[in-house]
Amino acid sequence: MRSVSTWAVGLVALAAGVILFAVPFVTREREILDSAAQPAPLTSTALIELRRGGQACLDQVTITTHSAQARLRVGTFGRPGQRLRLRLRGSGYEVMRDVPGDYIDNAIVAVDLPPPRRDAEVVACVRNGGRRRIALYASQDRTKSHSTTRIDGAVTGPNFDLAFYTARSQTLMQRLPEALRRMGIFRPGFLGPWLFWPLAVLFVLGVPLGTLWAFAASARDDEAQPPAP
Amino acid sequence: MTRITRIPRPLTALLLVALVEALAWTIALPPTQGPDEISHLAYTQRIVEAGEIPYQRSDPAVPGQPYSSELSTALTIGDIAPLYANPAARAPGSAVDERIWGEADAELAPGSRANGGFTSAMKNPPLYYLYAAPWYAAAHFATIWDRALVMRLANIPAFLAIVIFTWLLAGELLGRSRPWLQTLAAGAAALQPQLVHMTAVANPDVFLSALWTAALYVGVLLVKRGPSRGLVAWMLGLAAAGILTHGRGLALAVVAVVALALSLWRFRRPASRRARTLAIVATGAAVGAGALGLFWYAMRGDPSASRVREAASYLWQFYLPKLGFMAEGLRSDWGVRDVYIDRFFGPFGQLEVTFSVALLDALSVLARVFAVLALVGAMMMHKRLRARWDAVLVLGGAFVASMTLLHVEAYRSLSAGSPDPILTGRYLLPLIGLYGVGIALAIAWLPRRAGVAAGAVVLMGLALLQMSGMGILVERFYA
Repeated sequence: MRSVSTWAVGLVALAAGVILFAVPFVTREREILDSAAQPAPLTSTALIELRRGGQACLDQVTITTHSAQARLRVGTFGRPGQRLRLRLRGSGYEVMRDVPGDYIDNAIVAVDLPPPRRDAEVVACVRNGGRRRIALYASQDRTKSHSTTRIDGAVTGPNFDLAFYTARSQTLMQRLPEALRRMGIFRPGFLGPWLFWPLAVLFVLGVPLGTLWAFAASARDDEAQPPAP
Repeated sequence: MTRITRIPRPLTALLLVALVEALAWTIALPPTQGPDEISHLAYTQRIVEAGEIPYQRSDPAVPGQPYSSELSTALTIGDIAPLYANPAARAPGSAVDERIWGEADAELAPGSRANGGFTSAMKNPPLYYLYAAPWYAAAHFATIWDRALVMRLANIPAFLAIVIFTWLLAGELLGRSRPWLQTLAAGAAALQPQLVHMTAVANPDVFLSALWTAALYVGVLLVKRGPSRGLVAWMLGLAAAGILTHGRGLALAVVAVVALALSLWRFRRPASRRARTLAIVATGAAVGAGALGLFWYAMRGDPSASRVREAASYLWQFYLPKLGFMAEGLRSDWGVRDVYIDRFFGPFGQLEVTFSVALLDALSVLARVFAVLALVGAMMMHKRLRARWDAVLVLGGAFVASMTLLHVEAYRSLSAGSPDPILTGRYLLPLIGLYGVGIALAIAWLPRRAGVAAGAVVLMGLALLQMSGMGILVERFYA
């Protein structure tokens, strides 16, 4: 088979795969979990109980410029939801939001926030503004983050679950620039998007096309050889 | 061995492809998120920082804290541990995270790199860790994250060696006059997503797989060209290196013995009939003694009828459906599909990054089709293969020896009450050369035009699989 035909067959197969599978995957809109100051646990759920007026604060929380909604799970012991106040305060960022008690028991409560201008370290506090006790879902297994939770100033074991989502759903393509930036975290300082972008392009184009080039070249070399005796 | 005068252009291109893949996965996979990666990092850290080889065959009475203070701080303050296998977590994504960790790291006392205790990886022999130690040491001045990254880079030469030796192996078996089959075999290995994933993980698996692939090639050369001093030395050296790398390298001793015995039989056969008979009897006795020893080991010293039945039932139900008269097998929920498909092509990270069930189903069907096609290929090429029966025996022996040892260990573990089935897909990576050659064999018997077209389609399918693996990895950790 001539090299041109090898290329043609390979490119058609590649294009079919890209159109059928890759394009839908990278262009599907999905909810983006930007960061989790305390991710939900894997093996056992802990609870942080807050009585009327009680407050739980989680320190060393990172909020990024893409974080536009905080989420936490709240239990109400089978009773109606209670009013909550979420307050985030840190270097160059302070926001306070009141949450009405119209959520149901064990619901994930989502609170919209203005994203900070710069990534910031904050303390996130949840106050029970209602009359009945509530429980914040929390983690104390190996998924517990480095943060510390204080209830009315006293350190407690588990951390309440707190995650930040982006303002709107995004495709993987839209998220890619941020993903590539984040790949530079906990890497040597000189590594970053300046290298990761070319590497991503090389990966997406170079891997299939380089493989196909190698195959077409070897098929051509084969053609050039005299037939086996 | 063949004197290499120049690297063929297709192989050079495949090596560049492999290099790009390895770098991309190394960067995309967040620090220490590979299987047991932290334990392997701790092993190398002990060698470099404490100046000792922490290898020990069993758990110590007092294990102490598993990781050094430096590693523990990275895991906890860096929020790496909460990320393990937890889809509700995301990789740290801000310079703020780096600063918080940096402040904690700066407060560590002197000696905090060298005070780690025992981790399960320390039951592994030390060769891979001694190989990785200079890489780690080269970044000694840098942060723990940088040293972890450099340890990952140490796998890249091993990965490239796998591609090269798969190419060479395919050349010996399928003929160097058909370089497109070599490219197909080596390309299949280079694009295997689990192999690339493990290249991006500080872990001995890829190093061991490189030793295996090289040993398979040398084994074939031994039976084709005879026991020259150089080949014998390479074979023994690779077998010794495998044994000194991991328990799964033990089967390389079998490969070496089979290859050397067949090579001697073919090229240095004793002249006298009596000596030949003696050699056959001695070989039979050695094989019998080895098999008996292995059987005794598998039965944990109790070869009762019930235990033999249990072992046979386990093995049967691993590969085939349970028959009516059989009792429920040990971990009968863990079988050939799990190991040969689901855990061979994926998953990634801490096993939580998986291909979709639909894709794995499709791979399962395709694997069966290719197995049948490879058998057809073997039958169509039976004259060539019959002439090379000894090479086939070396490679078949390698597969059987590797799988037998894995099943023996798995049975011992399960029969002792452990729920761990031991055997998993990435443990098949040492046989990646056979995987590549098998794919080429499945295509080799087709008429040339059709074969080349099919090969192009197969390679593009594998390239898409490779990119899919990267896609789900990025989605898991960054989106």
